[in-house]
Amino acid sequence: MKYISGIIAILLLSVFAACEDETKSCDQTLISSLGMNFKKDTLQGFLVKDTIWPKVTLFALGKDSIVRKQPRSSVFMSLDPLADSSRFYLKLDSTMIPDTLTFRYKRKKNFVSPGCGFATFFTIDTVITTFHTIDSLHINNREVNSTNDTHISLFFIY
Amino acid sequence: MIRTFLYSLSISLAGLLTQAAQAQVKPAGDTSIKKTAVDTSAPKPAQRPATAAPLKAAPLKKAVDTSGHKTAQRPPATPVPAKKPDSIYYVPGGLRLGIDISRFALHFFQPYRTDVAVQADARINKKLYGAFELGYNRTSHSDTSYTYKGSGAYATVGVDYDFLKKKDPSEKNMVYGGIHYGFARNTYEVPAFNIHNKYWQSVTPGSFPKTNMTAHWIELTFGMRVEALPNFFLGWAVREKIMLSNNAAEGFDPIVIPGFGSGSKSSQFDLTYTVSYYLPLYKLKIRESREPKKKKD
Repeated sequence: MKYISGIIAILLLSVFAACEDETKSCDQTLISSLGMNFKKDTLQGFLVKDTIWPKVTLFALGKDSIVRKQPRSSVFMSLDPLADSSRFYLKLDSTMIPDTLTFRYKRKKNFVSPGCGFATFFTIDTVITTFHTIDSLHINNREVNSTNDTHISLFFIY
Repeated sequence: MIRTFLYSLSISLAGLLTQAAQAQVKPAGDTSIKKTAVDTSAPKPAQRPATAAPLKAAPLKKAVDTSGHKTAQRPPATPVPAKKPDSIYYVPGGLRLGIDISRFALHFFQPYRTDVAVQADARINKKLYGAFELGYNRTSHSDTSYTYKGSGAYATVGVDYDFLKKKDPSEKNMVYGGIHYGFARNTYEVPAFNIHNKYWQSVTPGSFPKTNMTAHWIELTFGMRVEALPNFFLGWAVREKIMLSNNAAEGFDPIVIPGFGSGSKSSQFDLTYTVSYYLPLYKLKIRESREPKKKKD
């Protein structure tokens, strides 16, 4: 009997949680982003470590910069929701030669949540890159949806 | 409205706790069941007619053991205690019809939802009640991102078990737990949506056509019903609903599944507050043994 008030309080809190207006809050990133991280490859693949490039510049060709001369170990970019491919300029340091990455993908419109509404999800088909600074790349996850995954790893040897 | 809801909840709870306390402090000599009728059809062993005795007498021809072995001697017969006749009494049975007023309060918290729910229960035996619920939901939401329209109906059917020890068998208050099966059919659509992308400075318009879906779930309930006025009941219940299956379109769950709640969740907690009226339609005959219960060895 002495626990009755506590039980009622817990029940009421649960009820208020169940009564939450789901259209008011968006707990996921509405714009699904493609994530890339940078890895330093030494000893020909036997020793791979995350690396930070000092002056990273990234932008889609013909668009504003996403990152401009900032130290980064990973970058996130939005793919073009109106086309089946996107091209990005990536320069990792002022002394390095920039690379161009081309992503080819399929698009699908998905309902994310009552608070977030709809978003375009992508499935990556192909990634084409120049190899001026980049040594190799690996696709970790082809599905670009509203989760903050790292979809691609770029490997460098220096 | 919330204050009224909480006030009614506390009144109902207080009433029931008082009754439970009364049931616990009853005197030791008082039986928990009031006897209203006694079955006298069973003949009493002490008054058996004398003609019954020869039937159980030894057979006319006695079998003779010619094998030479000693016959085992039977132990002396112990007198069998007379069996007490079963206690038979009648309890009121009927249909309790109610409306779930918490669905109207829900509209205050989730303005996009409009729900109506009607509940009914009927007594099956001393402790079991058949429980039914029918309801309707309409969901309508519109903002700068999308417009949503949905509507559907649902039904649940199950049983409730009354845990309350009653001082008077005609008492109709309940503290119950139950298990129900729920089924819903829902139609929903998104006439228009826009996907905004700041970086690419694009707006992608689209729509989602009218889609039908069905859902099946199980709900576990615990609650109470208290007779606030003659045949007029107030009751609350908590429910945990567990989704068994639904065939919502891939990539687009409905915002609300009627009767279940959020369309994107696999389980849902809920509370109901019901105002109901009892229609006394029939009486149930209850037969109970008056023999003391055997103790487990």
